[in-house]
Amino acid sequence: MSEYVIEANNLSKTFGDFKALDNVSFKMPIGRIVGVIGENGAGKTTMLNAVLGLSSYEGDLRVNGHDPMKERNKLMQDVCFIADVATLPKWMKVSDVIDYVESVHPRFNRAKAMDFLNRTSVPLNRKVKALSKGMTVQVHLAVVMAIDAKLLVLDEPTLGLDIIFRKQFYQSLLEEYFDEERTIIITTHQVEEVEHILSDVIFIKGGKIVLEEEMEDLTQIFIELMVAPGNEEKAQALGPIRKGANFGRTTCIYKDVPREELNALGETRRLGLADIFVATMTGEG
Amino acid sequence: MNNNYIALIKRDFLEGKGGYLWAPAIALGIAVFFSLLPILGLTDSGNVFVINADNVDLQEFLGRINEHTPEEISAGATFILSGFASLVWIPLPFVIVFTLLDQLYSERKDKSVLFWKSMPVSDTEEVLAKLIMPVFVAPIIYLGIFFVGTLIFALLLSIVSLFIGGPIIELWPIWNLVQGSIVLILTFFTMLLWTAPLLAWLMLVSAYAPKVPFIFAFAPPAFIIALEAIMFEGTRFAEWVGNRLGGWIKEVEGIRHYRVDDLEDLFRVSWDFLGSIIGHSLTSGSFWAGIIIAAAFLFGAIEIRKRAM
Repeated sequence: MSEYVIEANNLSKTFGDFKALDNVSFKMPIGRIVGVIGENGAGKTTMLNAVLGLSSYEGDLRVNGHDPMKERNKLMQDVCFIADVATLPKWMKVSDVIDYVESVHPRFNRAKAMDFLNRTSVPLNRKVKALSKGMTVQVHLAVVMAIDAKLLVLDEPTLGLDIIFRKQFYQSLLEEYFDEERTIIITTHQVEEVEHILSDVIFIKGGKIVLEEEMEDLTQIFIELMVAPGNEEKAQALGPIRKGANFGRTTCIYKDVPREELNALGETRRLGLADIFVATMTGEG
Repeated sequence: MNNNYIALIKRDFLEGKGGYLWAPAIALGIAVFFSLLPILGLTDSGNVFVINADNVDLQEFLGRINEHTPEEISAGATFILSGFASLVWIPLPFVIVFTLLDQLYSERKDKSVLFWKSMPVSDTEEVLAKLIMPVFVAPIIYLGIFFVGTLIFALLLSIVSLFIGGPIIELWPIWNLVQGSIVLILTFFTMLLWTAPLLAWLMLVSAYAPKVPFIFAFAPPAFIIALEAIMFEGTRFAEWVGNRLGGWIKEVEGIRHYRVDDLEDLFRVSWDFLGSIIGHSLTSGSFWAGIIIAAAFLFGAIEIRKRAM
């Protein structure tokens, strides 16, 4: 078995004339938490759908050794996902959902799911359609966390939830689920909420991967400089990918410029993931 | 059967419980209710029980019952009890048609298809389970409720008979009822297999229709029928559909020559009839052509579901 849970080579997907995914290649190792970040329509969901065997694609794709489109049912023994919309069947009672998953999923641990649910206020005999949005996500999370999978894909999992639920969601994932045997892929618009748990990021723009880095390296690669007065020209000469103004001072964002060089021109700062994303998407980087 | 099928069928039963369980149970309740009215003397005639052209009405049957042999009474009772309970079957065709048309559409509409697809269950298993539950399991549930219904009516008749001094034992023709049920369900399944291409068509439409699957299911055949009538002044397509829906029975050899001299003959004749229609079907090219068309439609439904989101 390969040390990568996903290996994609020249992956493409077109809808008519529109290239939703344009010759994308990437590998995801085991034991990582990868953020896939891009604007709406950038190709995130298309990429994840291909990985999950939900849509056809061109190119070569292996997920845990399987061809997702041809062997989705085998793949789903080791892969779990929560889609970007509420998908739990609304007519089912919570207990029916648990019973069903237990009967079809060989890696589902009922005790784990019940343990998680018992710590929430979700009533087991209530139908999914009568649950709040937050509770529905808790039920889905309980199901997913009780499955011993190698890859978990979360597409905007906390959309529409309030902040306390969102915090708890990621905390549960990190503390009770994630280990070095698993990989988690997360797409979200709320970058700030996930950046501290990510180990890797992929930026997608126009169906192409524009950046693929480990988080640790990323903060070395992208640096923001608050330019000291008088150094503006020198700062410009180093080729910032983005310029702005803050409290009357020029700020520049650099990619792959040594920190020592920048330190001489003013005050350098570590950039947040959201800022790096914006700089990459709107700048030349 | 593989474990997944049992789980899927159980799930689909839960989803369609209203049609699979409550509808026939309520139909039975209504039948019992209306049969109680004359028994309790709330209407002045037992005519609710007039069965077909035979005019076997309850009072007459029970009143003259002692003139007959026990075998005749048993056979007659089977006939009457089955007639009472037959109301149970009324919802079934609607349940089959609307369930097949709805399932693959509504799971896309409410996005639950993404949840089902996150489980290690293949699209083939999903689609076949959604065929098996309404088409093969539901009729057996209906048969069970029908059988219970005949026993409830046997109990009611026995109580009435007790008051007017009629027989009791003969009103419980269990073996006849079992035979009748077997013939009934096997006949039903044979007829259902003839409609297989129509049923599979409903599933195919359910898998692809972007909205209102009902229109997508019924508009194309209506269009073909109209087009054929206008362009070629023909009715072959309509005839083909009619044939599938039961017209094929006319072609079964010897079926018109049955003579039923007394009620006891009915069982011999019905077993004979069953043998004839099964034999005819299995040796009919048209029957097998229908099965092949159905398989092609199902294959289409499975392939479409693989891409459904």
